[in-house]
Amino acid sequence: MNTARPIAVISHAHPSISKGGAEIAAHTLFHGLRALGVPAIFIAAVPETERHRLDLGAGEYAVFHAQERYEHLYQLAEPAVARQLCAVLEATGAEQLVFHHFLWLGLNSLRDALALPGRRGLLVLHEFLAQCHNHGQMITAGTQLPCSSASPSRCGACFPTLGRQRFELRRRLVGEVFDQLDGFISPSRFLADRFIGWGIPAERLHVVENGLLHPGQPAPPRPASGRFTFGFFGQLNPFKGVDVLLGAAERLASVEAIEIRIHGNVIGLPEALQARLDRLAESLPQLRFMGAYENDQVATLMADCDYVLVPSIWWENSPVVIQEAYAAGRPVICSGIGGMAEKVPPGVSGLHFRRNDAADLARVMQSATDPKLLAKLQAGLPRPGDATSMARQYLAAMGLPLAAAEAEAPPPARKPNRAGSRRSG
Amino acid sequence: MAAESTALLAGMQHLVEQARPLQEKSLRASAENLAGYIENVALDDRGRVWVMGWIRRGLPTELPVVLAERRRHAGAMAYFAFPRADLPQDAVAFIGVITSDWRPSPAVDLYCFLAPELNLYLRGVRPLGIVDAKVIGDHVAQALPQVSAGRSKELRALLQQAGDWTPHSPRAGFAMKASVDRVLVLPGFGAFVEGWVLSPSKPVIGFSLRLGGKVLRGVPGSLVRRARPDIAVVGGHTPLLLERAGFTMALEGPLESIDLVEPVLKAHFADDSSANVPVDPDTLRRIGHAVPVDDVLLCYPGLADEAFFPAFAAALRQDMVASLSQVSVIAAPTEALRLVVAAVPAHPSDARLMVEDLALALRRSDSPPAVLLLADPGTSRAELPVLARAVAEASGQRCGIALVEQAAKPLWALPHLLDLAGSQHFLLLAQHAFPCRAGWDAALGSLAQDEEAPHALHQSGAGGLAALRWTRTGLQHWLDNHPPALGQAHADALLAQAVPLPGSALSAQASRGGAQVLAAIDDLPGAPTP
Repeated sequence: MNTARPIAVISHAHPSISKGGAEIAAHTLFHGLRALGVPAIFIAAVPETERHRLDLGAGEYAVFHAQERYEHLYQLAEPAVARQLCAVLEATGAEQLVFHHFLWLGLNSLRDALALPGRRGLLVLHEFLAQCHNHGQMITAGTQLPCSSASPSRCGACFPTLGRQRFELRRRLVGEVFDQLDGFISPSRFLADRFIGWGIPAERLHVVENGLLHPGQPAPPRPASGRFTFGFFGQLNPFKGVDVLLGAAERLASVEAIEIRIHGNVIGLPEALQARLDRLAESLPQLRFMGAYENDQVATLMADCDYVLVPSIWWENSPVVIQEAYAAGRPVICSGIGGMAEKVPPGVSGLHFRRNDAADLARVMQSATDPKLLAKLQAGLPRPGDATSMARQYLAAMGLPLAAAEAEAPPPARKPNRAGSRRSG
Repeated sequence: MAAESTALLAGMQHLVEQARPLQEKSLRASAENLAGYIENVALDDRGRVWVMGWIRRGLPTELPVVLAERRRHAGAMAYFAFPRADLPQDAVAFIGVITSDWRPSPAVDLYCFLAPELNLYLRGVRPLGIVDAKVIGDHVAQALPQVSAGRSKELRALLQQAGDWTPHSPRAGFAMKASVDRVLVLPGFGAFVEGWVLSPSKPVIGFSLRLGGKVLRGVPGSLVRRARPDIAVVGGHTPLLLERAGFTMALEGPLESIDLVEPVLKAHFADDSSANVPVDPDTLRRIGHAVPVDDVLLCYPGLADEAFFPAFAAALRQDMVASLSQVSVIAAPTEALRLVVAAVPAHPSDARLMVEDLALALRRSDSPPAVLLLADPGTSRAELPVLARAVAEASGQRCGIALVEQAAKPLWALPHLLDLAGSQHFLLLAQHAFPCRAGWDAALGSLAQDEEAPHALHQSGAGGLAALRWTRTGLQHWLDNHPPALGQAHADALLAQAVPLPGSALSAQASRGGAQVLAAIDDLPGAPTP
């Protein structure tokens, strides 16, 4: 590879539009690479309807898409999305491509981009979308139970109106595109093992933990007040276990020592769940809905809690919120499955409760109102990596020695020649 | 008057029984025994034969008869007589009804021998005038003031009754409750009627159905009974009736599409009387249009072994072929010697994937051919231009769009589609087929050649045809000699003679099943070439 060419970090979303873990991790990598002096650009897929909110930084580009035109079963974007992406890559000369997610970009955009002369690519696996049609969560569509493995037959049973044959086609398409990639990166061992079990050769898969853009210093323990604050941070969607959290809050209504704060923006909550959230936030004195927050506020907001709650009902991969909690010096109480269980050793840096079990979450939260336990867990918190350590590991996974990557300055940026793309800085 | 006409019919039934043993007697139509002529005949909605003509004065007006044309039929005739100016003094005009299993045909020599001696006879004029029953009714109305003999009022009532399709006819004179649940109709054949009937005082022996201007008559022996305990609340205490109140019957008649309106069901009783039942037009379902053909199996699970199956099969085949041959062009394709005709899958996700794969294959091709997207009503019409644009961008040529009734069965429409583009060589991609990369490349590579032999790509597993590469001439010759299957094996017969293309294809649909009736029709010996 010609290292004079920038590395393109390609994300399905831009942090100025949404604050999901994948786009934040992608953005962190982009900054980490640049901090190391490695030429890099950041390309984000952005909904046309959000164009007015987009805030691109230096070296950042956008490809615009219409969400309603996205084909979710086979993960296909409109041809114009692939054209925009290829135009940016050709204009910037980026050869090494790091895809974070393929949602909204579409497998067709990956295929077309990787077919450009001299391009090589890595795909960062943030969830199971390649395997699972149920939003990539590996949760059964009807019963919402954890699914241990994907196959055309199992997926056809999970989506009986689609049938096994369409999942064979889906698997074939994903396989064709994956064959064009040089390798994969998973932020957790758990996810990596699941994809190895699904068929990706182990030697093509690297585990690299997400870093934080500004980890900062951990906050000191809060002064003892006899009252413990548990904070939820992130997107409020059904897979994040909002229902479980509300169930626990109801059970803890009479426990004065506990306060629960919910921070985040609401995304796709069913009407009934939204109504329940509104009602309980109004009626339960110890439950407070704090609303959305800016990413640079998270450390401060977490520092104002004693524990961070991660009650997701799906497996998770490596939730950024866990790294953020560690950076803020706060233990984590999480569902004891998947990437969460891997990242939070129970009794060391946090506690586990049974997935989708509000009563068990309430029990664990009550047990956590023990100052000695809190102190012990705080002492066991690991230090999360930062953007540059994350970038170094990515360069290694790409087979790029840091010295080589830094050897040449980026070429002068050229304006993409296709409408719909935008460069800033 | 209903009671009198019923008595007349009962008497005629008795006369028919008297005529039966007379069929074996020798018959001789000597000139001196000619007693008159039958000039016009009509078939009423009940299936009775009405006759008009002239006859010697003074003969009985109700008598057994033996009808002779190609074979003999025992029957009974009742008529009334009236004067007519053109007749000699010893003759009168007559209008009457004949009950028998004889049905009129214009091109035969008809003799109606009058019992008991069978010497005298009436002869049918040639060709026999076959008129509408309403014409008979007009003549009856004109003749009534001059009637000289016979039970004219009873006969008139009988004629009116047969032509009366007024729902809730009061003529039945007894309690009957009935309802029609569903009417499956098929132009060219008739209908299947499902419902229930409760007639406590006299049994129902069959049904006829009026649809628009046509009357469909129950196929003898096709009446199926079944228990309907769910209607006990309307049946009162009629436990025996409830055990067989449900009915299904096949009814045949020259039904056309324009007739599928104003249905009325007529229930026929053992005493030859009848009563009309209103039918909600919402119960009409056109077979193959509103309901799958296999819905008929719910009425007759052993359909292929029913006596009416050949007629049903012929009508269905004609109906389907006419439908499948129709093409509606939304956007004409580029005129080209070589054309890809890609059947668009019905599922929108599959359609996107098919076009994505097709565009990819076209971009790999050195000289991309012209493309026509073939869709059916199951496809989102609004999406088609979007799909066509994606194909056009890959091929560099305008992409055509055409609609057919079933994109999964395109062979009947294919010659017309090829003519649209002036194409001699074609590659047909079957609906729901997704060739692998090697399959696409082989198929497009084959299309670029000038070979005459058919080449085919197979679906993986037990699937059928995924893609066919052939010539317009070859296809037309094959169509002229081998009608494609109506069922899911539509083009599979071509697989046996086609050269296999390398590669394979997946299908977006489950392995093929269902369509049992169409498969049974395809299995009929000597299925006609449309």
